Amino acid sequence: MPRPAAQPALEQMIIDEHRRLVGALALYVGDVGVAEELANEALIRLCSRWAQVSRMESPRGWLYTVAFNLARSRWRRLTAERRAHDRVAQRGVPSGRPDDDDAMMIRAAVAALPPRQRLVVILRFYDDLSVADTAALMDCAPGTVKSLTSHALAALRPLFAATDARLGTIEENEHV
Amino acid sequence: MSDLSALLDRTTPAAIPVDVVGLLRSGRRRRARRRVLTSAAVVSTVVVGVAGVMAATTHRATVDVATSTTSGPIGRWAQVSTSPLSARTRAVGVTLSDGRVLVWGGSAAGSSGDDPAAAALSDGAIFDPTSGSWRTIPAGPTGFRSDGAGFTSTAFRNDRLAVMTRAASVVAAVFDVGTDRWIEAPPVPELHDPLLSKYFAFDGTTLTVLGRLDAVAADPVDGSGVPARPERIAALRWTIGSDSWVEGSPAPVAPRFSAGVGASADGARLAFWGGQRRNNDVAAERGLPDDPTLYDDGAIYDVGSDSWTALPRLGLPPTTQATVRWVGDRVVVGGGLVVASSHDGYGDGSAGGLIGVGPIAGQPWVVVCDPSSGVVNRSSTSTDFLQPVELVGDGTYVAEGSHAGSGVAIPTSFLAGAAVRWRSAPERDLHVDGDRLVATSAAGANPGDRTFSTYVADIGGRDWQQAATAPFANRMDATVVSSGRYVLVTGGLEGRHIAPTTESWLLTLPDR
Repeated sequence: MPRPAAQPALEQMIIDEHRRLVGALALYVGDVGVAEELANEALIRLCSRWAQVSRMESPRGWLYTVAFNLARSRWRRLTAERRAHDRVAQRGVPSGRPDDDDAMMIRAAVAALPPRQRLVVILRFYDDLSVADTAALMDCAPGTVKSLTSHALAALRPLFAATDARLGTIEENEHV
Repeated sequence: MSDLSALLDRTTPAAIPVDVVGLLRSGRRRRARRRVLTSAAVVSTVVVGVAGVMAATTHRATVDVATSTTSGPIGRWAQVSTSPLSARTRAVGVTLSDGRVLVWGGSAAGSSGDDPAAAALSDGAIFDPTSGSWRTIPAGPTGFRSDGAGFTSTAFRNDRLAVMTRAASVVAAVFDVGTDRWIEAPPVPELHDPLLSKYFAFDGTTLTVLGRLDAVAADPVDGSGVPARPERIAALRWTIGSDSWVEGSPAPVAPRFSAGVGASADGARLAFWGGQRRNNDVAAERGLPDDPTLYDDGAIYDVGSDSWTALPRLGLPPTTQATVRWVGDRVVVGGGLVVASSHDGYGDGSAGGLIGVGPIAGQPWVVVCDPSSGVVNRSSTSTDFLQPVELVGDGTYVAEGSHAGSGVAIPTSFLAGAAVRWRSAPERDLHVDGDRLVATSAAGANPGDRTFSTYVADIGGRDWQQAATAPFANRMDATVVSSGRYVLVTGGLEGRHIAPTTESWLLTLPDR
């Protein structure tokens, strides 16, 4: 059966976005296995609604919005945790390469932030979104994004000291 | 800005296989199912709407124990009078000796989480399942905290609820149901290690907590002969009626940070296990180098005799922040972090997942699950995955907690050296009362998506039986208390809009 014309674009988007989406969700939930399950669920929803989503201005924005909504839903997260657990139990090992210590430390530090600060850090510094795009995705004012960023960076400062990151310059830029 | 971006980039997982075809196929199936459901929803909305109006009329017409119930395999649900407490999530609930239920604390529902101290609630109420009525109790001297900056642990014994909150300072108090009053402990001395003192023992009269105490120099001024004391782990005890904390004898093992700790059910003993030699934050303050040394030993403190028993080495990779629980007279140690670098507190999340069972009297440990079995799993930074651990009839049941999949029960046969058999509980939250197990939907389950389900298993009887279907949608962060005879569900967040509620429901189960 011939594939619909839009299918290659959808496949390409899955391939392009999957790894970064898992990475962003892992920063949000603090666990790669759970993030992988959440990303899969978001991508399934993307597939099931591709006819509508592909006509949107930013299909990627839609995907990330759905994915973080799933991550915020406690029940969805618990379901994902359960599936991740079952998968590890079946395979004996999680997917992909084990994380190194730094990755786990950074992920844990971000995951310890309050939810909105966590999200703003991921969107701005992991997904490299602008303040305006972040505000649009979070449905809040740009000033709120800056304020959340400032608080998040202040909270991360001691935790990231060991990595020699120059957070001071970042924080100063937030007030420009 | 690039510094933080580069830092976050380092967490990107390497080459995760993605099943594109499988995702596309699942998407197609989901789309087809949605079309069918959309058609069905048009019909069902009309039916449910009419039924909803009728049901609501019935509920409002009742007093105390309402008549709205649903038939089901076993038990009967009834709506009871609304809780007099403000809407809250994750309150503490315990069953009193006369069958009533004490609900205390929790977090103010709808709070943003930005100010956890303000959201911490200190009031409570007692619910009588036989009459369906509530009465409030006085507010305590501390609110319930469970956030990054504060943690409250509780212990219940002899109709007294002991609470200890660690935040900027440590506050301990006991609520005595008999006299309906709070008894506040004197100021708690500096305990230094929040993990070692995370949980305490309470035998109904004496509250005991472990601390990592600073070195004390001999008193050179008054000549009283106070001996010098090195850094040590010691128990601090406060007995109701006294006005001070008393330091007990020091532990017979090296002082350490971040050991796991657990109290026996009768509050007479405390066990700690593992830990690391040096807290790297403290070390940095004192100009000392990092020291990643971990311990694979521990000790048990007996409150009554003020004595310690050293535990033998387990012989598996040592951990910090292990989970320690008691099963009758045995100690279960599991999980924890294997700190492989100088970054304090974050280790290899995949290397834990062991459970050892050690008799107290110096006998060897029994390893019942090793890290490679894949049976026990835990989140990379979560260690409280064993809860509750209870001795029930002839079976010991260990339920995995909120971080790691469905509840799992282990028969006691493993204690006698027989093969480990795992038996899954049908729902995540496991309540134990005598020889009856009650498994309920996860307290954190999302509202609206599913009904609240309950299963019951009597030890020595049949396998899990499903209880009547709850007539309410599932609640998020509700307080669920089971006495074996009753299951009370109160408060939490309801509906798709996660609205705070004080509504309460009671499931009455048949006698066992």
